[in-house]
Amino acid sequence: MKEVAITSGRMNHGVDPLLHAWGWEIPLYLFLGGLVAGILFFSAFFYLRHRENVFTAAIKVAPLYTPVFLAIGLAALFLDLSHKLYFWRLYTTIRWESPMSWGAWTLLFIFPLSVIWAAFWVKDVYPNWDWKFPIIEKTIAWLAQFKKWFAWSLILFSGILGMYTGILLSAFNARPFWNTSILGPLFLVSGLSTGAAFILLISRSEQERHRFSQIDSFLIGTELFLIIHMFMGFLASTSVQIHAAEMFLGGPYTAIFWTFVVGIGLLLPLLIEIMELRGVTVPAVIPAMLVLFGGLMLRFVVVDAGQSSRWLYKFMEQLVF
Amino acid sequence: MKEKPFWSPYAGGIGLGITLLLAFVFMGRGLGASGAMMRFTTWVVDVFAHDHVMANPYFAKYAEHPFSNWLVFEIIGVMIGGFLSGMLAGRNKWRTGRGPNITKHKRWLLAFIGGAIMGFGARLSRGCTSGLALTGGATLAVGGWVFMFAVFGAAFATAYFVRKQWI
Amino acid sequence: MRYAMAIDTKRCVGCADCVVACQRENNVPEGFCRDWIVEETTGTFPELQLEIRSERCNHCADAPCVRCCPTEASHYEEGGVVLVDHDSCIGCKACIASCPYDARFVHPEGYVDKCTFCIHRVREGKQPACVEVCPTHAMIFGDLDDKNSEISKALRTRKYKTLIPEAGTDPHVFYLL
Repeated sequence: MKEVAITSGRMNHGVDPLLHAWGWEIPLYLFLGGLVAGILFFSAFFYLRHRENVFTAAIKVAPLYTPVFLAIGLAALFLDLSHKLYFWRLYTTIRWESPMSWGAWTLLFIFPLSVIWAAFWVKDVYPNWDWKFPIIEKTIAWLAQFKKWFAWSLILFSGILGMYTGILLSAFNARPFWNTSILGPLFLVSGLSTGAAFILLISRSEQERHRFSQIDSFLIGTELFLIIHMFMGFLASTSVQIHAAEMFLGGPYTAIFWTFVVGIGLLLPLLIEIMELRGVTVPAVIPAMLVLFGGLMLRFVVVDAGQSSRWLYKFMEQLVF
Repeated sequence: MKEKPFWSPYAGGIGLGITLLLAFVFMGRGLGASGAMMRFTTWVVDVFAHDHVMANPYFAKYAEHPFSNWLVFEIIGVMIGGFLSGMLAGRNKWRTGRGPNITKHKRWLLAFIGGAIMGFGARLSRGCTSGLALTGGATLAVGGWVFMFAVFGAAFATAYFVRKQWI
Repeated sequence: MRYAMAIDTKRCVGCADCVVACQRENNVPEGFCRDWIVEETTGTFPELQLEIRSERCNHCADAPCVRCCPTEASHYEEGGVVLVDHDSCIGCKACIASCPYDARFVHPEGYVDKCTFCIHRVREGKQPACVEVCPTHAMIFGDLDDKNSEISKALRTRKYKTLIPEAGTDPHVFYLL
């Protein structure tokens, strides 16, 4: 028998009985960040393949939403800080070993990039758009010469944005559930999938919807593969990680994860999209909304479950105060 | 896509019975539906009037973890299954099921009133057709059979007066 | 100079004086503690073993909390002591998530706080509050690079362990067995 007890009664708020450093703000930002990464990636990618007239929603309309989504995500991040007035310190240094630092700087670059990219297309979508100040009009016309450069840098930065959030979580070895390098690719694929679903949602063209249904199906399949491998990896690893995986295989997160994230968020839209590709008519909004919901739930569950896993004194989760 | 014909009701009934059996095999308990609805409404009322919910011993019991129950997930599954079945049969479209002699709004109003009465009755009898009549009847619970006879009896007695909804 | 602490598990009685002393010395906010007492019982009755430890931040040499801090608020100072610069901390809580010992917490004033090895006392030549107050003299604090310091001698003559060394952070709080 081995009995461990903290006899002096440690109950640090936010750390005990389970880590609760991050609430809803972080999963919301992770979702929006992934969504923006997906939208910008597809927009830049298909632009570089000269599909502007075929995939109008993907290349022109969807990026218009990205500055708004990023702004909401950044606001959520700011709300999460417990020492808000000092947030500017993030930009006084760059720490190569800190994924949080990479994220802060990537966001600093990708936000104006997304605004400029959206500015390139806003007149195509809203012909009556007026920039009001001629200097803005001139700057955008001048920058538009370098659209290709912007597209390539968007491919790079959206890839970083989509992946770094997973790498950030996986860098925390102290949380066994996050300590898997699959989390980076998983978040990237999930971000791309939610981006494709969003494009599916707003698209008005049959051809575009068909193409993005195919892309999304492939991405969902990849995501399922990564999730299964993540659990296989945990179960083949050390006891802390087996304990972390058990939270999802009979533990408190079982129902939520396998129904909402995998069932409703991945399997169901995959099934619907496959049926759609075989001729059954389903309004595109349904699989799209399900994928977006699944992406959001994935972030919520992963952030919460990671905080519930720890190396020491796991019995603390039995205490409810 | 052309709408496929419905299954034979006998086949559907046997299918439902097998589902009930599988529920017992996998979950150790039978089906149910009104319980999920009741938990949902308890949660909604709890958001707005927590004190009222806690003061009522019936609600207070469910208010703590309203959604931590198999019925809630079962109902989510029912909705998904129904949607998939309709999708595969080409039956999914927005419509109001009614006869030719009643307007949409009257139908909705009567459906709402009937639903409210049914919900009240379901909670009064602690079960509805799936939980009490189907599952309870299958386990030969007297309450289940009494409920079932009462449902059919009342339906027969009142159907004439509301026939205009369907014919 | 490499500061470290050694806690004699054979002398520690779990009185929690170190917990209270730390709270008084460092104005730890109510409800929080920078160190805590753990009692571990192993074996089957009547062959039981009891190990009592006073735990705190381990001031790791390869601290994940320093690595993951985006603003360098979490940093090393003299002797390898890990400290948090209150004016640089933005409260992102990455360090809290990264500590395998769960030694950090968010101070109500917004920055992240933890055991500092009472560096303000050490700089004046005094011992940390917990070491000073321990009634059984179970705690030793000193410079590992000084071969004649009490801690170096203790680690040479006694068997010792660290907590979860497999977490890979190279902790510098040693438990004499």
